[in-house]
Amino acid sequence: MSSRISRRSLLRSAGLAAALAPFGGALAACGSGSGTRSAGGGGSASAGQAVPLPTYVPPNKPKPLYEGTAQGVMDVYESFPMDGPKTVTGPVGDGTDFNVMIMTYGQPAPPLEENVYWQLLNKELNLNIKPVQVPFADFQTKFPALVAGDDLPEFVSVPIFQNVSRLPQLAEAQFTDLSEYLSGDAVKKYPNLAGIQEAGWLNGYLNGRIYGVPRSDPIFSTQIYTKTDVIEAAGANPQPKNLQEFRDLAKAVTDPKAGVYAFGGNIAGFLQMMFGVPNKWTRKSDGTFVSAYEHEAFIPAIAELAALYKSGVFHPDTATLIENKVQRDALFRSGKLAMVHDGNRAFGIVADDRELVFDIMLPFGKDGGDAVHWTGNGAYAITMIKKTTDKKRIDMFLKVLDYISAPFGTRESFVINYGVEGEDYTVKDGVAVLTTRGQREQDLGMAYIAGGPQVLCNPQGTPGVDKLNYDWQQKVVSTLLPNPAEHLYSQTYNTKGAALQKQMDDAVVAVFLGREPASSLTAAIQKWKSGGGDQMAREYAQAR
Amino acid sequence: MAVNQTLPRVNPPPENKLHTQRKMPFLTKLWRDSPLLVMVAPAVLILLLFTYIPLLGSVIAFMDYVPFLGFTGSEWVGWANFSSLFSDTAFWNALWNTAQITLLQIVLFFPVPILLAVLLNTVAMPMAKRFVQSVIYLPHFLSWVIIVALFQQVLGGNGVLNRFLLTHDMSPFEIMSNPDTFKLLLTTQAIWKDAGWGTIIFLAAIAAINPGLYEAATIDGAGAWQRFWHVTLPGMRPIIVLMLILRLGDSLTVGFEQILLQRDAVGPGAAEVLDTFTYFNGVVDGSWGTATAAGLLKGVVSLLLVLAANKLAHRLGEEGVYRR
Amino acid sequence: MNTRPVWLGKPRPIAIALKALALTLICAVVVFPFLVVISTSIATQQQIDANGGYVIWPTSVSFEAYKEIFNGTQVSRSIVISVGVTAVGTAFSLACTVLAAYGLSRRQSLFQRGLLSFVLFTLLFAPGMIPVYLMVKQLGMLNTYWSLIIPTAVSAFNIVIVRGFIQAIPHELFDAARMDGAGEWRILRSVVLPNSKAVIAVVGLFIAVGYWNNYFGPLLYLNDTEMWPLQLVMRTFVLDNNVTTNAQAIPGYVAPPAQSVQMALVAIATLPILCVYPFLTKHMSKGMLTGAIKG
Repeated sequence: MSSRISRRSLLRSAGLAAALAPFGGALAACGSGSGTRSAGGGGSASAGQAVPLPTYVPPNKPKPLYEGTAQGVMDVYESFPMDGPKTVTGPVGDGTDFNVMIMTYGQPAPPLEENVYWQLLNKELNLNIKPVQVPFADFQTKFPALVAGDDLPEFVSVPIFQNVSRLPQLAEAQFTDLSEYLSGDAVKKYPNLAGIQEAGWLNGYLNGRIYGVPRSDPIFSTQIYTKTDVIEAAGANPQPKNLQEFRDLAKAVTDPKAGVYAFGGNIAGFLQMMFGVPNKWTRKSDGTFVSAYEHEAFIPAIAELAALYKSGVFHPDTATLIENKVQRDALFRSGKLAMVHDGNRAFGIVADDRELVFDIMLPFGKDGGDAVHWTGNGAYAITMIKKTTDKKRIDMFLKVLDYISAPFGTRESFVINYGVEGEDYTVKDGVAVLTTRGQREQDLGMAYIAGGPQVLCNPQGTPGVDKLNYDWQQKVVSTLLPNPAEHLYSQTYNTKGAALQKQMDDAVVAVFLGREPASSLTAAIQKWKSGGGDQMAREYAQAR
Repeated sequence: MAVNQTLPRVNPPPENKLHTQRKMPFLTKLWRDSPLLVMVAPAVLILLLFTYIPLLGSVIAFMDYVPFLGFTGSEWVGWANFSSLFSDTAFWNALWNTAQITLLQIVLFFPVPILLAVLLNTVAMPMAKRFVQSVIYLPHFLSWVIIVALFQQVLGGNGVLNRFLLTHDMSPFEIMSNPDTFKLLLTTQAIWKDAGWGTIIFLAAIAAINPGLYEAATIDGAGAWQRFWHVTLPGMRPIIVLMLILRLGDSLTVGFEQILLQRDAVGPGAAEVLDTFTYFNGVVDGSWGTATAAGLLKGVVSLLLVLAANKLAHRLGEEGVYRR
Repeated sequence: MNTRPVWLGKPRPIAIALKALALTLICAVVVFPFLVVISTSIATQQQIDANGGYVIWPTSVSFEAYKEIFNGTQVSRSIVISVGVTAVGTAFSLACTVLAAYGLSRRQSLFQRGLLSFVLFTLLFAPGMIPVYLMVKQLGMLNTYWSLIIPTAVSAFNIVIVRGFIQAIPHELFDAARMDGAGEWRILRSVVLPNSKAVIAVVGLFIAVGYWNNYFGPLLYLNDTEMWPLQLVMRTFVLDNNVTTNAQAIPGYVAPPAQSVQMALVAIATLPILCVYPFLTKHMSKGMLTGAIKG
């Protein structure tokens, strides 16, 4: 189901951080929006006229148990509807090869001749799907080689969090401008694409033109999951309302002799939100940009993080392997960690465990005042088509994506999510249940390349688990704080951003772990600014 | 090859009569050596195709290389990639850390496989010898992710050792996240993983020693220690020198994955090495020019080190990697 | 059985005891992680959670992880591919290496110095990933198994090692062969090869392990996942920290713990090398001259 896809994705992007950089990853994962962003808006002068984004038309979907909102609260479904509406009529593909590059998380899917799910998709879409599967951890290796060798397949799905270098220029040079087919009302020809919200489309909107069709992502960045049973056993309050209560909670649950600690990873993002630090950038009334590092609350927030660490509420292995997600989740499940800070999609994992008693901490202000919650970037990936003038080919490409983007609960999404009855899924008490084979075969990854808003549907989890998240989202929507530079293009960010980010992350971690005093951040911020931060601010201000 | 005075020579003088006849006409020499040239040909061809020609691509060290623009479309930037490296204090810090780790590993790690090989060689029971030999090389096959996790499990802040100390009201040791001892930790891990694997080559070197030399030494009244000192060690020496020079040629490369996994626990001040620096400042942002520039620098430094080490080896009468 | 040479005196008991102690300690330290790998691969989720990630001694045994790995995945197929690529690659690479090493071992031979420098230079400068990719593409090797075998077949390191051993062969043997009128090929066959068994075994192992562990080549050069070797398939398992997350969504199906699956894979991937090794140690410990003088 959709929530499954969502969970697999971000989680695993957090897993990447865990695998490669056990600790720095914490910051990158704090806020799916924090480290990674593609580009959009102006920048290059060579682009054509900026075009309007696709018009949003609510898609045809089954009625959810709880209705989401246009601001990003997700729909809740009890289970996958078995008799959903059909949203695609007429032929989709034309029987040709569909060579598509997909970044994948799982193992390679079983080959076509053994894979009934793949065969079914080929038949449904009238295509011969030929995926080039790139493991997520190696995307940054393989993608540049394919580009350099001019070996990209006809269709390419680019994950946003991979921050592909100079994406707008690459798109302009090698991919088809889809504006004429998607801008404004033109998108209505593909009703399921019209059901994708603006936050998603902005990711494929490069140089004022539409190049990519997005796979939407939740708008929320990170959450703190609280292990309610451990907290209540310690007599503490799992929903603190201000910093002092938060400190009290951490202190109360920590019991070194029993090996129980409040946290096991970096919670810099959460503390920054609590202290009211803006989401990466602030746009001032005169149009200039100021980075969040220069905000008056940034250094105090990190100082508080260091103070918490010093007080001993963090797991002793925080500095090393604790960002190894597998281990951290094991600690959380077994009650050795009272709280974990993780991407919104981690919810899926937690929600699936029927035994687990947990809650999600609501954002609050340091002094009990207004809370803020940073937004994420709204899309997981965008899918593009190599440069062509063949209108029929482009139309077919969009029809295929339209099919794949069919909302949760429709017949098309049932096919994509469940495959062949008796092989990929079985029906029990009127509910479709995936088999192991079904899961393996879906590692094909076609479901990741395009799609509208995701939904909450975890029928296997603790009863009411989706409602829990839904209620959290309802409350948090009003506190959402976007990054004003989110879809603006900065050459400096795109070519030096990761190195600069790493510098700052290193500085923050040094303070966090007590290696440096909080005052050292002033110099680090200066270095960040002169190394490219100031240049980024100027470029954002000039961007359209 | 240097030869001990008191013992028979390990080998006769290296120069062979047949080949000391100089001034042979070129064509005769070509005819004589053509089988040798044919033998070298496949290796040379493969190196040409997959090393030399691609090395021409290193011109991107002087470019702002963008894969989709290619070699012809990317902009030339002269020495900019190099100067951006040199002007960064973090680069010099990384270089310094790299040098320290290399030195530490040469001093502490390099002799271990040699000693281990010698020790193994003195084991007389073939079963025991085989068993130990088959076991010690195993950790080589574990990936760093797993090894670091295991070290964590035992020595980490919440590991076996510290849990024990904590439950017995003693203060825990900070081993995995202590910047001051980090380089020692790295070396320990490297020894643990690869010392056994490293013995293989030295065992082969010991196996190549003429047993007659041992007999002769024993007849001369040499004890075990003397035999080691006068037979085993000289016999192994060419390979030891060779391995040392090869290691020096690699001296700016120190366990990338191993360090990347643990860098953040102690911070870049202690743990950033050249390869991780290049990774964060070149590869992650797709700055291929910068990454290539760093690679070229490494090559130049290695070249100088190998030349110097080889020269030193010759001074000491060793064969080294090659002889002029 | 005791193979102590006659010239080696009886060691003192204390020396034996010390030696035994040292070796036992070394083995214990080395075997420990494999115990953890095996134990974790057959442990249950509760046990792993209780131990914080890894298990030293399992209290219960479950082979679910192994079943999970082979159930409908490409692991078995990829093992066959890996074995094939490693076998063919090692044979090819070893041939190139030994030939080049002998060809470069004669100090006064034609072009010897130039060719040796040509080989040694590659120890120091490594080309970038993209230029090598472009070359592999140019030669039409993309999406073929040749792309896994040929580009990495020649390593200056291995050539230098083998050459060092060949140069240590006593020159009388060469001279004697030459007196008999043997050409270079016959000398290679009858003098060099029989006297280089140890180093060939060692370098062969280096090469085989290199091919076996290579995931980077296949990642770059193979688009077709059906052709992936074990290490690349394994990488998708090991890096994919949440291998079992969606499996948990199946009611009544308890997925094996992620750690168990990862450790089971480590065990599976190490096993083949484990099988090859004893054959090689046989050659490695053989004194070279004994064989040589007979031949």
